[in-house]
Amino acid sequence: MTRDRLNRLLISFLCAGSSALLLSFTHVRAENWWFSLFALAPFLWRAVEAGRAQAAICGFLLAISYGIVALPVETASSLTVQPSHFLCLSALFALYALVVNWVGRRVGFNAIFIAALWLPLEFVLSRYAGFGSISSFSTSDSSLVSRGASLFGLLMISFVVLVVNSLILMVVRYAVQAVLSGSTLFRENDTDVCLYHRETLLERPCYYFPDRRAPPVFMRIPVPRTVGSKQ
Amino acid sequence: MRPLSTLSILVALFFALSMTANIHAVQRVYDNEDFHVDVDSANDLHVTYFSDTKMRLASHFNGPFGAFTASPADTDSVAWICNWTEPFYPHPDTSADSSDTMLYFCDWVHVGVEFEQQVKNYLKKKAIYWTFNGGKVGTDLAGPGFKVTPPVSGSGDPWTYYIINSTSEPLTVSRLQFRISSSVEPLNGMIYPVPGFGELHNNFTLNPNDSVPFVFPDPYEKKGSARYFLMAQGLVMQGVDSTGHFVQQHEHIIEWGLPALTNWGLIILLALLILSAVIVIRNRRKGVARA
Repeated sequence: MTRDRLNRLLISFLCAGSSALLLSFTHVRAENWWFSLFALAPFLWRAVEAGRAQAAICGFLLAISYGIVALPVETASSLTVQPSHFLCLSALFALYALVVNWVGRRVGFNAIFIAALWLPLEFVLSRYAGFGSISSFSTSDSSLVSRGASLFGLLMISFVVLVVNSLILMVVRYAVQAVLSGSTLFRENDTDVCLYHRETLLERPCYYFPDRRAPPVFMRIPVPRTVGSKQ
Repeated sequence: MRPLSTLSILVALFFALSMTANIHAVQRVYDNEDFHVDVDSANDLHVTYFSDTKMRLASHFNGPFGAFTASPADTDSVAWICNWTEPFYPHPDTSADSSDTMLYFCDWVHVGVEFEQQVKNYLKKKAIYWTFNGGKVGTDLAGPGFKVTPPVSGSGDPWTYYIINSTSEPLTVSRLQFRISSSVEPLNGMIYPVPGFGELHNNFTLNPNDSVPFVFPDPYEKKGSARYFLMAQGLVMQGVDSTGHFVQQHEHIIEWGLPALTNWGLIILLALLILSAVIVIRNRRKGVARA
């Protein structure tokens, strides 16, 4: 295994593991329901940003790590049931990550689509896999959430939770792009790739001079011509 | 999709939920610990309930507790008073001289129990108030507790209904009966055995932290949002020399299976999906036009 592949696997593991850890917090106590509002954000980030293989691996890792925590004791202790549950869970999560990845490539990061795609997964998990609802939390109190669940259905709670997860992810991505890294590469023509460096919020107080007069930073990077390419 | 447009949709959804939630609250039973119990000299049980939703209380007590009458303490107040006047019952084991051994009727006043089946596989109890020998005991559950394990994988599995001694002393349990029903049927007094109930479990000792399971066949029958009622009643004697017994009789209201997706939920979901699809297509066309 190359070092690059190992690094990618490690990032997938970290994203899936942190999501599973946050999801497990929601199960410890009913009062911790708000963890689920951002628990799946790392997993979604990896599922959208990474390649297909890494997205599927991330889903697989999330299924394994979450399943260990969330499986009911009587189910987990059964040697015959356990492998089939893990297999179904892994396949479902990997499939979800793949579909999210595909949708992300086709239409961009869309919170509504990502949340809607979650619903069949949630339905299967709660009805057939014995895991219970992952993102819809306790419905035993008189809160607005439980009333909403009885009015619109449990899946709509999950839907809202996933939308909030996606929105948080979008905000974080935007913040990271605006504050830390503003450089983007784009192709100007067939031969040249340009690096456009946009000023970031972090750079502004550090490098910006009030009397500066200059065109925007624009660097031209000549692309090495390959043999046989047109002049 | 832009974050702001999604956020505005969410805000609209939140307001729609807020407006409709109060209407829907009438149909459901919720846990609420904002009430207290008093027993007067005539052994009448008075439950004062503080709730921000009067309809919730009315729907609650008029259902399973048929003997209760709920009335507002004050027209402008949120406090409601529920009176239950049914203080004495003859001792079933000493019916010969029942006139001398009239029992104080001590009842579990049980408000709001429902499954947390989506998250935790146990029945959550809240706000169980009970009295002993006509005196106020308090809010701590020191009597036998109950636990229900719903089926793990949907329909077809039996439910297990436990009676658990959560006290520190052995309890003698007699005339214990369980019942499961899909309709609310208020008890018309304590009758032993109650017609329609399950097998009568008589005179056994339940040590501290011990539990006795009673298994019911799964009543779920793949009904999406059916409500079922579990009831247990019986006599529990605490201590050999105790002159009094307390009768426990409470009804669990189980809303098994909140709907996965209601019509309203489906409509909102479809509307959001169509809206998102339209936005995506428009953005794509704009991109193509710019190119």
